Amino acid sequence: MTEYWGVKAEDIFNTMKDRFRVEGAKGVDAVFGYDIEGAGKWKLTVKNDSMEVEKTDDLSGCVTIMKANEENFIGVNIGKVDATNAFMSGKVKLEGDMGTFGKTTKMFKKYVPAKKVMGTGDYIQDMFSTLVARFQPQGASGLDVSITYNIGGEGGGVWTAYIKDGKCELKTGQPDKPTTKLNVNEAKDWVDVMLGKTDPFSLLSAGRASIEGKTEIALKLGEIFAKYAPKIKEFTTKDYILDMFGTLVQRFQPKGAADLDATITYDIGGEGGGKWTAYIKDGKCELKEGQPEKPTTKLCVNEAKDWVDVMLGKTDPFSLLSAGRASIEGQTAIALKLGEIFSKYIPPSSGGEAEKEELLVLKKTISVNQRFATGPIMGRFLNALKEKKIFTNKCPKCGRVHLPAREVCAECRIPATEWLEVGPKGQVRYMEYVYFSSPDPLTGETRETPYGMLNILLDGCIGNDTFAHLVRRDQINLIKNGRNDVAGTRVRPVWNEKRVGSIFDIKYFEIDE
Amino acid sequence: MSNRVALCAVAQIKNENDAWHARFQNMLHECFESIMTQTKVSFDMDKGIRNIITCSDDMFDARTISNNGITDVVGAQFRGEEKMSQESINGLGYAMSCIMSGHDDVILFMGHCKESQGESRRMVTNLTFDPFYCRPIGMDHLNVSAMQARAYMKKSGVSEEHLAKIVVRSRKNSKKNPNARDNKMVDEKEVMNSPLLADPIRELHYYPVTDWAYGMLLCTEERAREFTDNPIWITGYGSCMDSYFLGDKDLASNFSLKNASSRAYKMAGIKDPKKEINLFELSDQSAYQLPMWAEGVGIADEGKGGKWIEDGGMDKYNVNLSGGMLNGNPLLLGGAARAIECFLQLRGEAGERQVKGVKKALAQASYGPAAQHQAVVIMEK
Repeated sequence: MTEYWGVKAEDIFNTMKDRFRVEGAKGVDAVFGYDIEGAGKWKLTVKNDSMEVEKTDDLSGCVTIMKANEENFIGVNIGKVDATNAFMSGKVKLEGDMGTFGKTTKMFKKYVPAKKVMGTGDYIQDMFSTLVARFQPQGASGLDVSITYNIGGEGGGVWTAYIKDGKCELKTGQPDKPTTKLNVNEAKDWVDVMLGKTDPFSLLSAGRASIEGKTEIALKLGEIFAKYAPKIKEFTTKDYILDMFGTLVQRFQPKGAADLDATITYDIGGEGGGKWTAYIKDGKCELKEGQPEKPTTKLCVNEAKDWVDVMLGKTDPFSLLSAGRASIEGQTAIALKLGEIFSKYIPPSSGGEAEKEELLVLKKTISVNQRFATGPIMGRFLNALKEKKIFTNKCPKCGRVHLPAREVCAECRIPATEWLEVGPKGQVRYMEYVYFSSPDPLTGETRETPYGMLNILLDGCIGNDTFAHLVRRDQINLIKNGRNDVAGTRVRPVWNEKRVGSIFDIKYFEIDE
Repeated sequence: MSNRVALCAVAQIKNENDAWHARFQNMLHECFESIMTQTKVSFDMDKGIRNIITCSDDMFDARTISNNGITDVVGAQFRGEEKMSQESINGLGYAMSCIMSGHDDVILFMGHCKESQGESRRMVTNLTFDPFYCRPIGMDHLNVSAMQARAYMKKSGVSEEHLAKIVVRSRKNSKKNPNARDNKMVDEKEVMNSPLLADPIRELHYYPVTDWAYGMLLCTEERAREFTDNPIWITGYGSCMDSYFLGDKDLASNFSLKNASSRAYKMAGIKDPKKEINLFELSDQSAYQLPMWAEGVGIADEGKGGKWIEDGGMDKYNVNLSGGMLNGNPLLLGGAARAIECFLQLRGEAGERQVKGVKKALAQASYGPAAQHQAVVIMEK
């Protein structure tokens, strides 16, 4: 079974029950067959106000059998292929009683493909298919370069933009030596960058992306190509109508309705239509469904689609009126003032509201690489982690154990000279569930949330001598905090295979049972 | 209330090009221990240290609120601790205010900077500039100093040969200072052939990247003898801030230093610095600044810096016998280094470089683009 326009033949059959219109099936008592090449056979049984559809191999007893391939069948059903032409040219064939079969067209509401959530692959395809359209010659003046995007992971691929003489061409694959090559390990990361969810610098510093060749070209990408804006779901007439009336009160302009005491009813017919009334008084506006007995003004529009066109500025209301597709009852003067009473409707597809512009945008990443010394104390602590040991120091005066090791005991103001091994197991004192994670400042990587941050009283420590680390993510709901008189959950470290003398030589702690 | 503040003890580590073996915490702690040993001061709430002033820079430490990682090593747990991210010389002014106001009678003053930790000092100093107008142009302390150097050298007749002389002398002097950064001895030809960084500043004209830390103990006149038999007195302090944007000022005018030093002289009752002050420590981040600051504090005549060098002004007025900042102290800490040298000279503890009979000394420091900020401290025996 193949998808055409994102739809499979079985989608159409599986939704028939929901799309069935009782009034269209009045007086019909018949069995119809569908033989769709490459997809299978279906049998539709209609008996007055009920219907059944089943997938079957046996089409015997059908009054009519429709034969078509998948593409034509789907195309006709979603309006991409003209039904009459398909029939006349033999792409769709009918065997048996053609007259009765004609009634099926009124029996079902139109098939509307379910909106698909865009996946990583869809975004990547969409980004590259719009790349040439997003090319900005003024941002690429004087450039003669090839920019290769090497996107790994699911949905990835290799594309190269060839830019020369203010023109841009996109090809799959890459030349021998592109001017600049952008490697991104995971397509998902690149989608996040393009959607503004991640900044490219954190990807680069986390080693999840790299640039080969001329870096300065990569830094200019924002000038060479306009920002990628994902496709917005197409609004149906019904969506528009609901959105228009949903925003009517907030579009009300008291200035334009000074001294007005009126009820304005909108009676919108056709699919997606309905009846709403705006009650305007004392500079306030309220919207209700339905209408009062005698509204001050009543606007009747036969087809919702026409009203959407008016609101979107595609048709002018006077031509609707003169063509008899709309009418006004009551005070016409108020209808003519609607443009003052309500501000213009702006559809969400144009961003809904005007994009808020920052007064000042400073595109600078402040970054100065650092090289930190450990000194003898920190060095000893970190080196012990390599040996899977938590080896730390203790104040010779008050006995306080430092985690991590410290140069001095802060309270006694003397060097902490005694060394001892503690843990590595211990009990949880505090755990925090973190739901919103900011990138790790050292690596730029974002942790998965929620995660649990722990303070652990390692064996051999007392009081507040606790050690901070993370807990195994699937165990965060099982951790109990302890106090001096109550034991917390026992935990043990899970060591990294490769240990380099860092806090992440311990991956995390897990429950010790 | 006496109008002088006692400096009872100083501590420092050796200036190093890369203190790879120590965190700044280790560096500070060494100074802290030294002050404790020298003075036997306590942290008693009535009789001991209740307040610690620290000096450090967020950008060099790569953490915001750079003092948060040093509380324990400067003994500040459960005591007051106030950080200054300005030239360290202001810490002396601040300590004086704490003491002379009567709020505190003992102040511990500690500072650190590891310039070697960052990839590039010039990248760090680029961040001191206005992010919208100046950073994008690539301004940093070095290239902006070069602008000032051109303007000043023209005004005061300072030549490339003069600069070479200053560098050679600085290196020679540093040999006699055991805490100075170990630098190669150079001759004037080497200086004049060293790479040009930002015309007219050559590599050897500019202070090298350095790691350093220090500590000082200050107190009221009344309590000084509890901590030392030989206190040194801080009798004058003045500071002055000039415009942030370079275009707003005459780069060669020395306005802020003249202003700062005249305030310090007034406070210390000095009428003629040439006659009354025996030793000068000036913060020469770059060689051209030595004669320029000498003009600013009044030991060289205005616009005559070049001639002053030729006439032997540097030795006549005992200027930068420590090797000066030019030999290597980290940014921010030049002022503390100058004051520590004055302290040692006044106490007669300056070893091979000791000048006989030093009674009054001056420490000067500057900070900011083309020395926007200037401060001067007068110290007496």
